[in-house]
Amino acid sequence: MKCKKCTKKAVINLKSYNLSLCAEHFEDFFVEKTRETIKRYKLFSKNDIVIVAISGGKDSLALWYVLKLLGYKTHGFHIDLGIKFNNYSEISKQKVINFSEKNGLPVSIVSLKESFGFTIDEYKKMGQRTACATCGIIKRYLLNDFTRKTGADCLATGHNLDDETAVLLGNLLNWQMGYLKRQHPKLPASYGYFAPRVKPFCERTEKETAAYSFLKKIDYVQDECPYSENASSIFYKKIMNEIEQRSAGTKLRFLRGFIDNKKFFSEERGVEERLDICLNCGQPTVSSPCAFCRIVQRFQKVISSERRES
Amino acid sequence: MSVARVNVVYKGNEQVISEVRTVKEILEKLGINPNSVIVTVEDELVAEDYVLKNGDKVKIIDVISGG
Repeated sequence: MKCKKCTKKAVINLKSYNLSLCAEHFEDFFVEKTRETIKRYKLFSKNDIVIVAISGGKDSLALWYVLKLLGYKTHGFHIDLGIKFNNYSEISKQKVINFSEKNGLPVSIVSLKESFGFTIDEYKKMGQRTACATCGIIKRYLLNDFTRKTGADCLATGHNLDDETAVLLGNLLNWQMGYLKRQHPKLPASYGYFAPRVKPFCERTEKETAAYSFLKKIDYVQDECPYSENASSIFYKKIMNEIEQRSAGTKLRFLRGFIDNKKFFSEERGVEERLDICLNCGQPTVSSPCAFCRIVQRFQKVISSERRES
Repeated sequence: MSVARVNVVYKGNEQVISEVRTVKEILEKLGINPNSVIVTVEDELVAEDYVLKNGDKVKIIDVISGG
């Protein structure tokens, strides 16, 4: 199969676009489509400072790389979760540092252990919640906290089309109206506390971000987080890929259709739900203390009772 | 198009696969959805219609991440 733009051999066949491309033209396509997404959803401008959440995986590193190529002002933020299995967190952190140095991009790193006294491994051992749910709460809290404190304009994450459609499918199957109301490529600032969150890769597939990372020789963590093995998001992604294989373009139509019909899931758009304030950290929350402070307090309680017993 | 015998690495396991002509046929034999992987042959990214040669080193890289 030849590239549709030149005579070179195609390295990827993008069935949803009816397009086969060589390495060079795929790289151009990928960057241009990201630029279009930023423009389509008015995610941010060239004057904005964008905090990029960097896990060390393909999506976040590719996003950081592309935003730099497009001339945006970025600052990376990485959370060391302290997952020791397969040296996962240490390898992730090192890949982030190496990438940052190689590309001359600034990064800040926060260690969960150093800042809050526990790791995801330790929390998992005593956890009632699944590791993914706890990790999600911790990441959202710390990413927002960093974005606010640095005075940056928004927080960008590497969520791709597969992530977005898997979440959408899960939320629709379970009629999670609260989550459906909030799912969008751009979540505006809210409650004078939560920084805007944006997803410039929301229309790029996971296959595209992996292919782009491979072609640009981006050294990313290929191992999956050891705790995500049975994550429902992976199950939903597999289902969406089966549908996509039978009907190319379904994932993109599913996401865009949802965004175009968002009004059906939003009551009184623009009106903020009333929230309390966390008495511990000051974050707006459904009930005080907030979910993040409850995680920290719960861990501290277990540690102090263990100390008393020993 | 003649059939080939190739070395395939997938999820850390190496195996020899015979009687295949293209990358697409390898994925079909292994029951892998093409949307969930990228494939390299001799360390070069290739599309599913890539025609294989005897002895080619094929690597199938999972792209699905979760959590």
